[in-house]
Order: sequence, then structure tokens, then C-alpha cells
Amino acid sequence: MNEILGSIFSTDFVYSSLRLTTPVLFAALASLIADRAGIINIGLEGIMLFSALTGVIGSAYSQSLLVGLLCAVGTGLLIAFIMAYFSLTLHADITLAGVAVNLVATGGTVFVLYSICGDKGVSTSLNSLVFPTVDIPLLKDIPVLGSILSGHNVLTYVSLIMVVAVWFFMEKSKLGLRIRAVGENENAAKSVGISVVRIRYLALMLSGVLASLGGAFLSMGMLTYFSKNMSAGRGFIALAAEALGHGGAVGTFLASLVFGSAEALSVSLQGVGLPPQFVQMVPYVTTILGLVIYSALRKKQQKSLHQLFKKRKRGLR
Amino acid sequence: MKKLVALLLAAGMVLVAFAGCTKEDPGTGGTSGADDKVKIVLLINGTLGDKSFFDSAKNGMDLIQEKYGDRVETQTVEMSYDATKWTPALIEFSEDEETDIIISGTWQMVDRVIEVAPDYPDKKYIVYDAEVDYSGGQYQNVYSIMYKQNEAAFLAGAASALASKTNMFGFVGGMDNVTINDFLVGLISGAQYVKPEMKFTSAYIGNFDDAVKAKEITLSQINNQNADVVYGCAGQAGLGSIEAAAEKGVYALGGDADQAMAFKGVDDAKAECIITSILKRVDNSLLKAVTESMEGTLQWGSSGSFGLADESVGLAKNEYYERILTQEQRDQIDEIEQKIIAGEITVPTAFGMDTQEIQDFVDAAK
Amino acid sequence: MKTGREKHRLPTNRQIENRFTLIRTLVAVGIALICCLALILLVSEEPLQAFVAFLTGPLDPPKNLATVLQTAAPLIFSGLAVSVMFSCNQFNLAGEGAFFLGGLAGSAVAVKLVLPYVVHPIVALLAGGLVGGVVCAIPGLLKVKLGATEVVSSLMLNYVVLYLGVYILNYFLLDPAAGFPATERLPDTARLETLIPKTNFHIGIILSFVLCVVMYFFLYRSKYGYSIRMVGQNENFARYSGINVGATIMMAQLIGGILAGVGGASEVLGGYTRFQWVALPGYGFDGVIVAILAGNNPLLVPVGAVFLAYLRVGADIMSRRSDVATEVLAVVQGAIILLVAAKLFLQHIKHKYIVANATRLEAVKGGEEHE
Repeated sequence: MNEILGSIFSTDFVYSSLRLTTPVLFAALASLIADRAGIINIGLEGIMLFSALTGVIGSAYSQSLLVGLLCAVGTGLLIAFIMAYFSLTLHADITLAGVAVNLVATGGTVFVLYSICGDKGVSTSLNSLVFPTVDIPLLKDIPVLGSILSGHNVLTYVSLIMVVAVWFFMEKSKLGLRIRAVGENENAAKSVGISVVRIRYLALMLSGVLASLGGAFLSMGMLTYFSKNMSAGRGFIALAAEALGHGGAVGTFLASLVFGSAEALSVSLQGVGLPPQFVQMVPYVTTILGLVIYSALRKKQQKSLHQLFKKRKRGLR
Repeated sequence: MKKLVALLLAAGMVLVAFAGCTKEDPGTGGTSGADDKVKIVLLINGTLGDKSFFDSAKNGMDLIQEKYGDRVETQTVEMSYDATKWTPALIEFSEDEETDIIISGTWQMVDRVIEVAPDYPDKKYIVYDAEVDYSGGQYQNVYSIMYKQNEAAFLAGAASALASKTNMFGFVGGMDNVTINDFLVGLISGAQYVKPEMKFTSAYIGNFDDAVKAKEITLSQINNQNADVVYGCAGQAGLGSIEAAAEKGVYALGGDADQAMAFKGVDDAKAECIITSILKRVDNSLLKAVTESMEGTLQWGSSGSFGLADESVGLAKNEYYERILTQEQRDQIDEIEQKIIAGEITVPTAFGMDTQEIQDFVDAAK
Repeated sequence: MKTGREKHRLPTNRQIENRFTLIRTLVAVGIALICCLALILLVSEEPLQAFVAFLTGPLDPPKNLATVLQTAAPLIFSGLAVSVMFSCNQFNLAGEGAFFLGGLAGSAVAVKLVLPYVVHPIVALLAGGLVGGVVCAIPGLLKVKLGATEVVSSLMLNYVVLYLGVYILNYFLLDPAAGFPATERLPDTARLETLIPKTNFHIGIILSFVLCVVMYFFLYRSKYGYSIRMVGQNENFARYSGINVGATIMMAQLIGGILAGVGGASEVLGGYTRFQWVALPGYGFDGVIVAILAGNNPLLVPVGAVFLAYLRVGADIMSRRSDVATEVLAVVQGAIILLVAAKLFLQHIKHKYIVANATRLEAVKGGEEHE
């Protein structure tokens, strides 16, 4: 047991948590932008998977990391655009559009992989590129902090920067304000002349870009190749993280970190003597519990607000 | 509305016409006409491209075709992973008059072969990696091929122990099941045979897809438990473990196919960290069984256990193996191999143990 | 007199609506198939052979049709389950987990209890249904009691259910003699009878069709069904008309879960020799496709399911007889969902038609007045 505690309270555990947080964080931020515009983007999982594949293919054939990144991001944009076109222009239910994207992604990525590599599992025969890791000068020399925060993949840092960027964008920029307006009250937004459809298009596509970065991280950072179904439900976990974060960038980051740690924990807990199936459940149970606690708290809050409102009303009388 | 229908019809016709002219008359292939060729069909209960088990079976078909040329006709059929499709496909080929031998693998297929085979006594069936229960005197047209994968794992365990400096082995299984644990049991026995103080830490991913998690678990085993030889026994997710090993500069084992040679030239860092790969040579075993069948010496209605002696399991002894292990160590491995073949060493197996027994065995090596 | 008949012949707007839903679905399917053909042309060296195998394979030999129906059975069960839950406007995706755990529960009863023929499968199916109901009720409960979004909670729940099931399989039901994680062989007393020899056409398939009719009467002819659809169409309106929304949502999720659970048990007892799922079988999401094709109407669920099954069997046969991978089907499925779900797809044509119809109606009316 001490050994386990030791491994949890190690710098390595924190380092590993941050790494496992990265893909979830990208997707959660993606979910955030869509959600604030009033859209549940359930297709994150599929976008990540497709982007992971196209990033690998792009970088392998061009031998340029930039082209690989552009391929991944372009894929995310394209899929998000298709989702937006069907849900916003043709009024398909957005959840169904998301389910469709996910279904196409699981089979479609294998189909593309097979057509290109003749392999239905992994892309190891392609010589694809990987995003480099970065040592942060000065920071890397600080004892504990250095080994936790330095030496991560460049995309991990990008994801952290994105937290700030998304926060700034949503809270401080004009466009962010419009997105929030559309999400909070469609009709009110319409009445002040905001094009709801256009804003939602934009939000969904931004969401696609962020999710595609998460996908690129999976196949060009965390691993060096594409592997069938490699997103493994992380897009869904991201939805939960964003719900827990209550639509705020910082909250979403913290919630993602919780899930990253839960996954790292499920790695560390192996070998405690628990049946492995229970250990494998940890991230998902954490998610549900988190959702339950969050919803219960919110409900209580609403109730007390409601009561406060009633009291005031009575007082006024 | 009418216009729409007309449009669709027109589109359909154009498509059909288009499809029609793309391929009209090239020779109809080898399927035409009954002849004296022996038709052998391999039914894959999954898809090709796993780089190991099924691909190796397919390679066996190629070897057979190569060896017998015009005398045989081989066909490989992917039945997908949907288990409800397997019986119908099995029946479809059993009904086909031209088919002579139907080959299929894994335990899942055995359950189906024993339901179908008695209805088609003039057809022959070969099942690999599983055994039919012959105790009732039935299934005289079925031959079973079993692999002693634990023998190869024993050798790999011994090789790992010789290469290890920290005396800690990190094992990542796809799932907590008997097949996977049979490897683990073999590895533990082999490692402790040459180095009793060798310890094992083991973990399971929960599926065969999540390579990210495989990598993360392996990294944790390297960093926290000080493992310096690792093995991801998890299908395609197992590659994640090799990647972790290459990144951390420790050794890894490969599985099913010669993974070091697969990485050679594509990703040398990975190739160089792979001591050896545990091979299940489905191809050799199928070739051997079919050869015996062609020569009329195969004992239908029985099972053969294929191990090190038949070259149906074994280690990949490639250039990297030779580079990582010294001549002396390699001699020691060869010696153990000979002892296993001679029956002087009996390798324990997870088959027949229940979940608790296996866990106790594994816990004892912690 | 004459004009009256003519008036009768002109369709109402509702009829036009229904007819257009059908046309839209057919066009969507057509477009999806054309996409598929395009992909085949792109990757295949023998596109004609591939496409012919894809479209005619399920009929040739005719026995393959039994395979189509057998493939359709689990799709019908999960399609029904999703239809009921979606009718209530709940995007509960736990049908996947319910199907899986229902299969496990049914197998547990089959393997662990000794019961006579006929009784045994019935008990096993009921056990599957019970467990499935519980699984789908959880996201419903979280939604009703706490307002937690059912999409997310049900997606997470599927994984929890999967690992729980694998744990139960490994520690309580495992047959150590089998070379893979599986229960012991299902006893003959519990297996669903095969109706056509040499195929997998079992009695569970009949059951699925019967349930479609039952569910139709439930959803469209009963008070409870009415409440469910009412809540689905407009929750607030339903609340004001005195319907207990929470209880109705729970009922719909429970029934959906039961259907999925029974489906899981039926699938294992009819098509398998042992329970051997260690990953989610994916039927829950397939159910979404079927429900969409059927427009949540239980009577249309078999149509959607058989169609999807036809495509799947066709794709399997295609991959056997040509060089095209089965996965091409994923594109067809996705395109079908998107196009059928797109309410405004082909909208302008419909509008034109409705306007034209209304003009004619006016003309007829005008004529009547003149008379």
C-alpha cells in the first residue's frame, strides 16, 4: 500500500496526469465553446479519431509537421462544418449528427487506414512525425516543479495556453460575448441583431479545431502512430469534464485535470490486488460521480435561490 | 416529385452503366469448373491486419499455395468480428461442393465447427489454437492444432531475466483472461528458472485498442517499479508498451510476429529495444498439417500439440537478439530450448487454472 | 358531386408531410448508397464485382436471407428500445450497456439454473430484461432527480457496465477450460430454438417482430404511450396537462432498457454457444440508426432493421468476394443518419408541393362555390 501511495505522491504521477489530461482538455475546451453557443457536440470523439489519422497521414507523406498539423486541423474543421451544415442549416438533431460522426469515424478511419497502409490496426508502416517535447529553461532546473512541468510535449503546453486563450475569448472578446448570448437566450440574441446560425457555425468550427488538436496529440505526441479506436472514449469524458467545469475555461481545466489524474490513478492502482476491471472503471465512475455531485449541488443552489426569491416576494408584500 | 424520381433513376442507370464498363471481361479467375484441385479455405473470425495471429494464418495459406502450386486452390475469408456471422459462413463453405478442407482458428470457432462438421462428413476441418473434445469418438473429420505458447513465453522470460539488471519485469495484458495469462505464467516460470530473484509487476488495459493506456501503464512500471524489461501482451495496443520502452531506453518483448524486424528501417529506436518476439507460427503449423494431409499421413479425428519442437512457437532470433544477448546467454537459451523439447523441463500453463489460482501464481512473483 | 370526389383525392398537408418523410428517407438512403459506390470505385480494382456482391449477396444463395433476418433481430430489439426512449425525447444511449448486461444476465440464468425446456429461456430473457431495465433507468433517474444530462451519464455508464460485466464473467461465470473468457456452454434447455436448419434463424427473431407490434399498441394506443409521446413533444405542455413528467420519463427509460436487455439475452441464447462479450457489442448505437430510419415508430422498426441488416450482410459478403473492406459501410450508415435526421433536407421541394396543392385546393373550392 505504501508503495502505491508513494507512486501517487510522486512527481511522476503528476507528470503523467498532465500528459493524460492533454487530449481530454483539448476536447473539453472544444465542448465548452460549442456548449456556450447552446450545442452539445457529441461528435468530439469522432473528430479526434479522424484528426489523429489525417495528421499522421499528412505528416508521413509531406514529412512536415506543419502539414500534418494542418491536415488534422483541416479535418476537424471539415467535420465540424458538416455537422454544422446538417444541424443548423438542415435542422438535424445535433446529438444525432454527433452519433453519425462517431459511427463514421470508427469504421471510416479503419477504411482509410486500410486503403493507404493495407493494415486495419495501426499506421506503423507510415513514417509519420511527432511533435517535440520542450524543456523550459530555468523552470527545468527547479527540483520538484521542474520535473513536473518541464519536458512535456509542445501540444501539452499549447493545451494549457488554450485554457487562457479560451477564457479570454469567451469572457473578454466581442465574439465570445455573442456566443454566450446565443447560448443563453437565442431569442434575445436574435432581437439585438445577432445571427444565431452564423455564430453557432463559428462556435462549432472552433470546437472542431480544438478537438482536432486533441486528436493530433494522441497520434503525434502521446504515441507516434495511429491506432484503431485510439481515442477510446476520451471525447465523451471531455463532455463530462466540461459539464462539471460549468462552462468556464478554468473550471473545465480543473475538471479535465481530475479526469487525467483519475486515468493516471487507474494506471497506478494496477497491482494493488483489486480486480483489474474495477481499476479500469475508475475514470468513468469518477465522471459519473462528478456529474452527480455537480448536478446535486446545482439543484440545491437553484432551490435555495428559489426560496430566497420567494422570501423576498413575501417580504415585499 | 416525378422529376426527382426520374433524376434518381437516371443517376442509378448511369452508375450501373459506369460500373458495367469498368470491368467487363477479364478472366473469371480460378473459381470456374470443378477439377481435381484441392480447395482449401481459411476462415478468419476477425479481420486481417492484426500483424500476428490472423496474418500468420494467411501466410500459412500462401506457403501452402507456394508449395503445392497448381495442385491446390486456397482462399482466405474474413468473417468479421461479429460472432453471429461465423456459423453461417462455416455452413456456406461446407455446402460448397468444391471446398475440401476448411481451416479456422480460436476457441470461438471450435464451438461452431463441432456443430457443423458432423453434418458434412466428406469435408475436412482443421482448427488451430484450440482443441475439439474427441472423447466421444466423434469428429473424425476434424483435426486440432494446439500451440504451446507457454513454452515460447518461458524462453522469452529466460531471455528477459538474462537481459534485466533491475530484476523487474513489467507486464501489460490486454485483458485479464486465460490466453493472456498463459503468456504471463510462462514468462514468470522462465525468468525465475534462470534467475529466481526476478520479480514481475502486471497490469491490464481492459481492451486491445487503447495503446495510449498501454504506454502509460508501461511508463509507470518503468518509472515507479523500476522495470527494465516490459511486454505489452495486448494485440495492437501492445505497441504502446514498445514505444514506452524505446522512449525510456529499456528492453521490451514483442509478440506474435517478429516486431523488431517489422520496425527495422522504419523506426530503429524501437527495433533496437526489442530483445526478441514470442512467435506463434500459425503459418508453419498449417503448412505442416496440410502437408501431412496431402501425403495422407494426417491423423484426422485427433489433435496435435505444436510447440518448440515443431517450430510452431518460438523466439525471433534476429540481429537485435544477437546484439542484446551475449553468445553465452544465447547458448543458455538454446540449452533451455533443447531441454523443453526433450521434455526435461515442463512449463506450467494457465489453461485449467481458475481466475483465483492464476492470481495467486502471479502474486507470488510480485 | 364530381368536385367533391376530386377534393377527396387531394392530399391533406399531413399526408404530404408523411409522404415526404418517406421520400426523404428513400432519397437519403439512395445518396448514402451512391457515396458508398463512389468509395468502392475509388479503392477497388474490381468495383463491379464488389458492388454486385454488396447489393445481391444477401439474396444469393436465398438462404442468406435467413442471415439477414438473424442480423436484424438484435437491431430490432435495440431499435425498439431507442425508439421508446427517444419518443420521450431522452437521448439515453445506455441501451448499449443494457444490451450487453442483459446478455450476461440471460447467460448467467442459462448456465447457473437448471430449468426445463421452454421455462428456462423465458426466465433467462426476463432476467436479461430486468437487468437491462435497471441499466437504462439510472441515467433516467439522474436526469429526473438531479437534472444531470442523460447523454453524458449514459455514455459513461456504458463503460462502467462493461467492466462490471467483464468482472462478473471472469470471477463468477468463467469456464477455465475454454481458451478465451467465456461462460460454460449454454445448455440446450436454455437455447432459443433454431427454426430453419443450417442457419441461425432462431425463435428470438420471431419474438422481436412480435414485440414491435406490442410496442406499437403501447406507444400509439395506450394512455401511457400517449404520455410518453406527449412528454417527448413538449415537456412543459405535458406538465400543464397534468402528466407526471418525471414518472413518464422513468417509465420510458425502464421500458427501453427492458427491451434492450431482452434483446441482449435473446441474441446470446439464440446466436451464441457461450456468452463471450468482453467489449461492448455496439448494438446500442445501431439502435439509434434504426430508430431514426423508423422515425421512432415501432411498426417501422423492423423495416429499418432489416434494411440495415441487409446492408451489413451485403458488406460482409462483399468483403469475402472482393477486395473492399467491410468498413465502407460506416460511411453509408453515417450518411443515412445525417440525411434522414435533417428535417429540412428537400424542404424546398416539399414547400413547393404544398403550395401547389393548396392552390389547387383553393381552385377546387372556388369551383364549388361557383356551383
